[in-house]
Amino acid sequence: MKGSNLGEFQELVLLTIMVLGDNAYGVTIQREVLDRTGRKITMGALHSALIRLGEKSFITSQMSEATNIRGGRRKRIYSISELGKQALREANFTRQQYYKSLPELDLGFNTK
Amino acid sequence: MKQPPKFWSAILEWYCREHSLEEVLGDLEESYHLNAEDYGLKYARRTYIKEVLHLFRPKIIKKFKIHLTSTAMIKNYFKIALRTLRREPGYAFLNILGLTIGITSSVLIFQYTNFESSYDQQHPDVDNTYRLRNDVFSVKAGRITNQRVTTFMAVHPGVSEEIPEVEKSTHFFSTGGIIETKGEPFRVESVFYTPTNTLDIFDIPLLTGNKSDLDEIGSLFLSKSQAQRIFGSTDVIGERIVFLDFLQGNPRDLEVKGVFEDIAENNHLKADALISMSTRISAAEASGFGNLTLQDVVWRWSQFYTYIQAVPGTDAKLLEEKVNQYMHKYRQEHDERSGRNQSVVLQPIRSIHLQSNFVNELEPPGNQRVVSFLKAIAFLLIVIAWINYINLANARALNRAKEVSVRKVMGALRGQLGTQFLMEGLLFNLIAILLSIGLIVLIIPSFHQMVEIDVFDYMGQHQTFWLAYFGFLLVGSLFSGLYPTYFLTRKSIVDLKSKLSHSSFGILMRKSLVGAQIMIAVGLTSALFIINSQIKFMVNHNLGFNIDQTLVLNSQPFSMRDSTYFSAVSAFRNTLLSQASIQDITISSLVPGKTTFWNQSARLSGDDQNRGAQLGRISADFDYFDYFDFDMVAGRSFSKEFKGDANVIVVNKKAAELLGFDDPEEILDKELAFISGDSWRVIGVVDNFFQQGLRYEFSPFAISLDTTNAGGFISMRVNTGNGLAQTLATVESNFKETFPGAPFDYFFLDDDFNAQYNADRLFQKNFALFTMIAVLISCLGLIGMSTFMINQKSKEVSIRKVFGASGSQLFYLLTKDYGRLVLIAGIVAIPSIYYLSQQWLDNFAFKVGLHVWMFLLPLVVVALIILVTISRQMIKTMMVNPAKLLREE
Repeated sequence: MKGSNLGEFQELVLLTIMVLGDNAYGVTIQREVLDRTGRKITMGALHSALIRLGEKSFITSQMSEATNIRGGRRKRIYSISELGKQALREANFTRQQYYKSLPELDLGFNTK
Repeated sequence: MKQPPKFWSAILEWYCREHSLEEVLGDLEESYHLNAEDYGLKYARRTYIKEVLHLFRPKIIKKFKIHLTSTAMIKNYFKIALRTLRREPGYAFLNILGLTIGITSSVLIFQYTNFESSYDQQHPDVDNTYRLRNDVFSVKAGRITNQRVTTFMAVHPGVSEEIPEVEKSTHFFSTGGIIETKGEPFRVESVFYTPTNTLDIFDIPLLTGNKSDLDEIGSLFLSKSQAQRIFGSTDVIGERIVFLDFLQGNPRDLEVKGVFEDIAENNHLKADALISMSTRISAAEASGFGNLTLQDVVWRWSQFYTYIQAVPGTDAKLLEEKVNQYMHKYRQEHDERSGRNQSVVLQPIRSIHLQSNFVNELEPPGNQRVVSFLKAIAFLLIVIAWINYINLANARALNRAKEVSVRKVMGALRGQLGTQFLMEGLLFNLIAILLSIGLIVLIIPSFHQMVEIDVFDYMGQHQTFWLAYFGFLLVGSLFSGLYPTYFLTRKSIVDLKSKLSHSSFGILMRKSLVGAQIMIAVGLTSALFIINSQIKFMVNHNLGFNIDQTLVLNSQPFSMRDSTYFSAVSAFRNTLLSQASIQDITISSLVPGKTTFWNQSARLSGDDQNRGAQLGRISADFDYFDYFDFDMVAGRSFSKEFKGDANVIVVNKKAAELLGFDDPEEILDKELAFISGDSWRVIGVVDNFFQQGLRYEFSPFAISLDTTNAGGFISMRVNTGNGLAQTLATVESNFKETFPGAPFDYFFLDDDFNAQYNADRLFQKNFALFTMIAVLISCLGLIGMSTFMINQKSKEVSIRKVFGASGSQLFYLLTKDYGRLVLIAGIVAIPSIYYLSQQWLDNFAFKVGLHVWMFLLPLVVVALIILVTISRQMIKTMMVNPAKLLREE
């Protein structure tokens, strides 16, 4: 297994998968990111991130039913694994630690 | 539903790893359809391609198995290739330079020809969209007398209602005019009166406004750039303007209801503004149709550009048949009465730009022949460069023989040796391609200027650009690497050592390749001479009139004229004539170089044989013939001294002949009656003149005297030297004072006339440039070849010199091979050039005769160039002290 560090982009993808629930696959993830952040991500970037996340076992996937709009091809539905959730929490925690030590950047939320 | 581009999905399938392929393809296709729905097909396609390119990354590419035996050997091959390159930098330089120039020129030419062929490809259902051409067959003449790309008003929408195979149809009426807002006039060249269907069939996207507003009377849509030009903004909905149609009566108030995206350069229809068709029809109804009604004229009014979109899978021939049946049903009665049969031909819209050249074309068409010629040149250029490579590699084979022998002794297989030489070819081609990409980035702006269109989306999504390069790399490496491979690996070691350079096959091969290059050079040079002479011939030929120093103004548009026009224009004329810088003035409905739209059939009145013909009409004032210095062949021109000069007309020789008078004297004093009801007395016959240059046959003209100065063009002879700006300013201020609100448009007649030859000159310029490049590349190869060939003979030269051979004998020895090649090349090239130049000259009604010198001179020129190219090496060999060369033996 590769390192368990989470890149910024990978974190975004993980979060999006969680938000989408059981409808997370290439097109929906791409569109969701666009809607929420205005960021246009290419399929290339997205899929290589998904493959990396898979290698790190942060996500699991399974093929679903074929649809017409996809030219009769199946989708691969992604869902986040326990490891993935843990990685997200860790990333968030690490970041919060930094923010707390920089009071002028502490925006006041997440002051648990 | 349109499918995503197959080519690109195939590429993805090729490189994508098994695990991700299905989901990625599915994602892309889904995304493609969603995008197509939201942003249109073009965007979806572009995005799809971009995505495929972006997916090419390590995680997603499958593991390619490399079948080559050993990567270590490949490293070695490259090392040796680079060493060879470094050891003989001169050779490498010639080779790479030749390849770079060849590839660069070919890519540039292909870009241009691709642009020309890319016209009208991007409309939604381009394969099933056709324009209706209308052919008119005259029963009496027994032939087709008119082929126009417009047809009757009623065809749309009837055709889509009555024929189930027609999915959609549209038509529009084309004009130009003046848009006036807040007292300021703007001339717009291309305005269509159209129903909304046009927006759908050609997929013209709206920036603002509702499509359906284009059905309302009095609504106008502007293109983005025209909105910017006229209002300085695109936020113009609700603005009111006054539109003056050049072809039609009164000015009209219109409201801007929308703005559409500018239509791309590579479209045959480029509208500046769209006005609702109902506006045009209501205006026509208001002015009336004589004693007819709108219902009567819909099958007579034939100026409508009409397009249909067929249901996919419809056979075009069958559809054409059905459209003809449909038209016949309604036109039969008219046809029988007028003695003309109308038929319709479906023109695929893709083919319009390059293949359609008929009456009423919306813009000057491109030329399929020129495009094919240029493609051929592009191909020849790259072939010449590859021949260089082969020849040089072949010639240097001797130097490599040792290396090959050693490899063979060490147990190299033939395939391995082959790989090595192919890799070398690949390396050379790769370097050349990288250099040429750099070169293209540098020269593309000047190339744009040269071809006078700003066309190249050269780096971006233009897949053909990259495909061309990829193709060059692949074919080039194979082509240029294959022969040396074959040649060097076939021989046994013993042969390699002894006979290589003298093998008859090798020499024959070398000679025929050089011969092919010389042939191409001779052919292109000869073609260039012919093109040059034709253009010179056209420009310098006596046209039958004098257009020097002539400034032409467009007079006040007809639609703005009232009863005071005659006195106003007379006053304007007199004021200008009082200026010292203006000598003569004439007012006419047509000036040389312009197409006439005023054609009428005329008959001799009281003629027992009922002779008649279709004549182009011009109306002109007294000064017209003197001003343009026409030659009279019989009778006289208009003159103020003849008090009776009213209702008089002058015809040209061609018109006299068509009316049945081979002797021009005989037509004098006959009465000529036109179909419009007016009749005129013929007082003179003017010699034929080249109204539109030498590209076209002589047309028949009748020039009638019009003392009311009703013409649209005011021509004046001005001093074009110093003070021209001053003169222009005077003319302009006078014009604006006399005709307030009319746009001040002027041109210089000689420039305007010669602009007709622009396309030909451009072709000449390109052709000259690429011919020079072809000769240059050939010379690069020759330098390398001659070095090699003369070196081989250096010992022979020395021995002959010792035995007392004279300089001229040595010269003969060293050049006779080339001499023979030039002769053979000439014999092969000349017939094909003769044939091809005939093809090209068929574009012109008046062409220059082909002379022997046009074929022999290029031969001499090429021979001289070759001589100069090889002279350095030759002189070096001849001058060297024989002892120096021979002592080594």
